[in-house]
Amino acid sequence: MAEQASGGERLFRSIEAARPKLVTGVPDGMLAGAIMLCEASPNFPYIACAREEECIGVACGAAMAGERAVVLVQNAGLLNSLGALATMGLRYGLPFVILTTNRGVLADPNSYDIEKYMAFEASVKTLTPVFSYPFSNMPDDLVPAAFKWAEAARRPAVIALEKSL
Amino acid sequence: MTNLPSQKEAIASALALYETRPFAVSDIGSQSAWLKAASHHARNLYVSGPMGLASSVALGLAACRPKEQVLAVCGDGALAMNLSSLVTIAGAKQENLAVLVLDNGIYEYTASVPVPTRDLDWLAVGCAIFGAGSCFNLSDLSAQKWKSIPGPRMIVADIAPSTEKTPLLGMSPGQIRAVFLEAAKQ
Repeated sequence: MAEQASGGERLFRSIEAARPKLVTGVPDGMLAGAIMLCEASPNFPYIACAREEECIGVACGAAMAGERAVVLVQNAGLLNSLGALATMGLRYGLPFVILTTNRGVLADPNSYDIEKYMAFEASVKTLTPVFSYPFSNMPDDLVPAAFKWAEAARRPAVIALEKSL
Repeated sequence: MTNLPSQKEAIASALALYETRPFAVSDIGSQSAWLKAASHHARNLYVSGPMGLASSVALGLAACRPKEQVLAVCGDGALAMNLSSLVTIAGAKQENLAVLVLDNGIYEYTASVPVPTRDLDWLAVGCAIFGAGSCFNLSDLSAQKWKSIPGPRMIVADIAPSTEKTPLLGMSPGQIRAVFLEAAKQ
């Protein structure tokens, strides 16, 4: 648990360093700490969505106005959102950052997560580049770097955060 | 014969409620086509992509431009696909955002197949989510009344099925993005 809290704080600091105009998401256990900190941040609004596909829409609305937006969702939620990611985010070339927890990896073997991981590997990674980092030891400049990539590539940057052995 | 307005007329009437031109974010298909036909403007964001995403895109835009008014132009079939976005908008308390639902009971762009919400009372849905003081039929609104309604707001417009062919949008995503980005700059 301490490792997760530490990862959440590190993730929040990295998000803040990117100076987003808004953050939006749907909770996952690994993201809960960062989401609580985003909710309390005076520096940007956190928009709590009912479904992950909405988060993609919210981020697209911000990006259409030239503003930075961060999406926080679990891999299963991103799988629910592939239509929006492809036909809005990719089709319009919108630079925002998706931070997704890639549940079901080798160090995260809950039986109910395995198919999420398999579907994520089979679908998202064939659609757009995915950059994977350990959740508990991510670089401090991860989110600012992800925005630089997204803005250069003119497409959403997908960052997969994973538990590590 | 029906006395109901067309989709194009209803969109124009909703836009006319505002003192200054709001940003308008329209769903893919007939909403984008009729918004363009009713009032083509640099502040229009014609959404491609999955049906129903306009309300969520409008929320993101409204959160980034809190001093501006934003109108989401949604079809009844489209909004039914993203009904949860209404709950999200209400929860976000996004005061500068209004959702216009255009209710003709059909998927106009898809051979006029009936929508599953054809018997749904959208006004009751809006009142339940946004409150009775923030959700109204378009026919009951005036510009004066509109100014006094607290946001987030919802407008329900019963419209006639189109007798005209839905016009083509005629803009690429790149063109839409470039025009809108310039208009939305602070």
